[in-house]
Amino acid sequence: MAASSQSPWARYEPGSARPWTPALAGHLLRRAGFGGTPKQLQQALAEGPQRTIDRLLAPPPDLADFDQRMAELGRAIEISDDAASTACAELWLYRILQTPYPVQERMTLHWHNYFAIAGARAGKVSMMERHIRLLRSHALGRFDAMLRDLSRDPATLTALGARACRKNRPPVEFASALIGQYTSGPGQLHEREVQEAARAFTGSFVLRGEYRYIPAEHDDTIHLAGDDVLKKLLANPATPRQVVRKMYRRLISEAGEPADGLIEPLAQDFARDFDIARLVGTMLRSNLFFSPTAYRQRVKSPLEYGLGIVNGLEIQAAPAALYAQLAALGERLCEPPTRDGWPGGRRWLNHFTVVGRANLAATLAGDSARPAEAVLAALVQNDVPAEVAGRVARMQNPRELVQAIATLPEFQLA
Amino acid sequence: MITTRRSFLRASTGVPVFWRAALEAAARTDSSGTVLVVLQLAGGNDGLNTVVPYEDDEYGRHRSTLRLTGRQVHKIGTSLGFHPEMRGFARLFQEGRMAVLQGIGYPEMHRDHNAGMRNWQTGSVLPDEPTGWLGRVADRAADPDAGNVPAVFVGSIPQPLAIHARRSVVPSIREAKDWTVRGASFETTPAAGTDHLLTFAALTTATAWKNAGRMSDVLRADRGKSYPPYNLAQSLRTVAQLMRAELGIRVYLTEQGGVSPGEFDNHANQAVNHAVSLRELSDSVAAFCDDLAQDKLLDRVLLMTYSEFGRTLSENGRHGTGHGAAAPVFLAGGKLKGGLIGAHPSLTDLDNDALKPHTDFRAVYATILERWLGIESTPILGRRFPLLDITA
Repeated sequence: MAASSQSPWARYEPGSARPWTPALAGHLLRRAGFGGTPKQLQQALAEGPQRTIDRLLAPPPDLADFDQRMAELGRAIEISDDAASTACAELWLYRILQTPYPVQERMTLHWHNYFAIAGARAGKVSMMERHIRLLRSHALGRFDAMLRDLSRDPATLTALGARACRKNRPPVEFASALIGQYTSGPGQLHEREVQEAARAFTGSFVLRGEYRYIPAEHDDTIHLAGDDVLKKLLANPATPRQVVRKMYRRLISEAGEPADGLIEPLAQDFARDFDIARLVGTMLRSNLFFSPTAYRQRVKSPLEYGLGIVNGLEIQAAPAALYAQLAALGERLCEPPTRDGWPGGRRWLNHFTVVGRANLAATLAGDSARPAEAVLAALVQNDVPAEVAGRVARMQNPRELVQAIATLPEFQLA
Repeated sequence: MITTRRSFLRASTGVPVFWRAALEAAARTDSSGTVLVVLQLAGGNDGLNTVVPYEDDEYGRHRSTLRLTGRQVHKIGTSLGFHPEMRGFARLFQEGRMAVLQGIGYPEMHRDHNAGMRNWQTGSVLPDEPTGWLGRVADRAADPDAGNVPAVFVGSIPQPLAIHARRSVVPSIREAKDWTVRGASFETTPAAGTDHLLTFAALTTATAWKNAGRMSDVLRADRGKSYPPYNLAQSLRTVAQLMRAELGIRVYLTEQGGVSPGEFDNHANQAVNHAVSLRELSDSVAAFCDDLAQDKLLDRVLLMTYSEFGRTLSENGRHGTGHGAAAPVFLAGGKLKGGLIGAHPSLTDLDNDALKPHTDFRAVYATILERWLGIESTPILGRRFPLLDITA
């Protein structure tokens, strides 16, 4: 990709026009993770943007140990067959709270919202847990490989009414999600294409929680396998465009739809090999990312809000309690409300959730005893009106102080 | 009917005093709006022992131990009577504040709890509809730029599907205190800047603080009010408190009977259990109506009940009843056409021992949406249904 140093996607290099500040370091740690601790903010500030991004995107050396520990925990926690169980979501939250590799969880969440498979429809909770692991394993990998594995994923198939795709019962709902939602987009959803794709996926079954392909149930009058359909959809330029647009909403801004000209170069680059890490890296490193177009141009989800406080104040949070608190604010992990995922944006904030966020902040603050200057630096990097900072600095009660800062309009934005 | 701050935002000149005045106006304009309270009764309520056809020989013949007599029931109309424990409903009926819609259901009703409840909750008879009919009302009435909350669930079970929305965050409220700020709300003056997202967050926060403040005031004034000591009564009291705080909520969902299968599912020893449930229902709704009637709020309220199905005409060998079909829907409020609406379904023309419905439940929904909430029903229910004559 040829790009002049002024172009939106060119690498941001701090300069006098836009210096590297605590506010921008905070911005990066919010978008690439779940907000930083004071120490992480300091480190990012010292390293500069590009070196920080290198470090955030590279799997840390202790990841294998961490994965090992999480796998053991996953086995220890009883993953039951009860679809209503919250064990999968709580295990994930624990991971989000502890991970040495936040960008991986950030992207896993992104794909969870993108594919929007709901545990309640996915059958067993153990299948949902596997589904989340699948998303994680590809979260920064290749989109084509992720799509292929999802087309054989028991939770995905079950949730999309495709657990028994007999010759005479092609999985229409699955095919329509695959085309209209996962790849080329709703604009390309035509009845004939859906029917054809559905027939191509006949033969797919979920038996005892495992994927099985039964050739005798495949409709061979169509001379098309499921993988051929995936190949076709991936070759459609609308697919990379949609992936890039949704990533733009996640990483850059929800405030407006980006112009085609902004999306196209990234979409073309992405179409070469569907490398998600490179796409994420390009976005995070860009001039645009560190510009006012992106800064505080997303509304924090409840999870981003809660984790922002937890990390900023270095609080120990219990996953089960946090799960319920986030659910009350509209984000029930592993249960996106519909196949569209969570609507996000302004929908997160309403006259009730603002009150709920205030009370969550008070609960999380517990007996925090940090001084006002430290909390202002940790949570909003002092980027609030001087009058507000002054009032906060005079507050006596440490818990109310945290609550006050966490309810500032600025802190609602990521 | 639902005002938004969008037009105001466009016209804004950024004078803080003006913002505040507009904010207050926006938060209070709906004080005269109508409110719908939907009450889910889980388990399949036995309509035949709730509104009892005590003179019908078929009723007596099939209910050897469960039958209620003309001497026991609270008579309404010429041959029907409320269950003996339903003094509250009987009084509301006499006062013209209650309507009984008879024979409600849909063709080929599901007799399975989950599938049956699902139909009533989604307002659809298609499987896999992920949103509830009230959730779709919430989506249509919510203005994401205003941050208003058109619908809430009041109760302590997981939020029922009836109020699941596609785009809106629908609160679950256990008690009105959930809508107050613990600690102190930190008020900032929304700056009229060019950053629309920040302005949105500031305005939504400012209005939320005002609403939460009114909620605290209501709770202080509401102390000492007497409601019966039932869960449902406490939920309805919460609804009344939320109404008084003028939060702009148009739809409340609450429930009696808990999670599936629910307390109304009386396969055995029905007499005592059903009496206890109906007393809770009747006393709680009556207390709610009386409370609201005191300051004329009842005129703004329409309460509606539903249950997934009625029960079989025949009593089983364990002094209980099986899953049935058609059943009555109850309406209560200050501005409705009280009385019996629609004929009692026949006790001889049955569908596998259950009453046949003559009126589609979605016609009830459509009527309430159009005539009471003033919301077009077709986008919510997917098609048009004939409207019933229920409002005065």
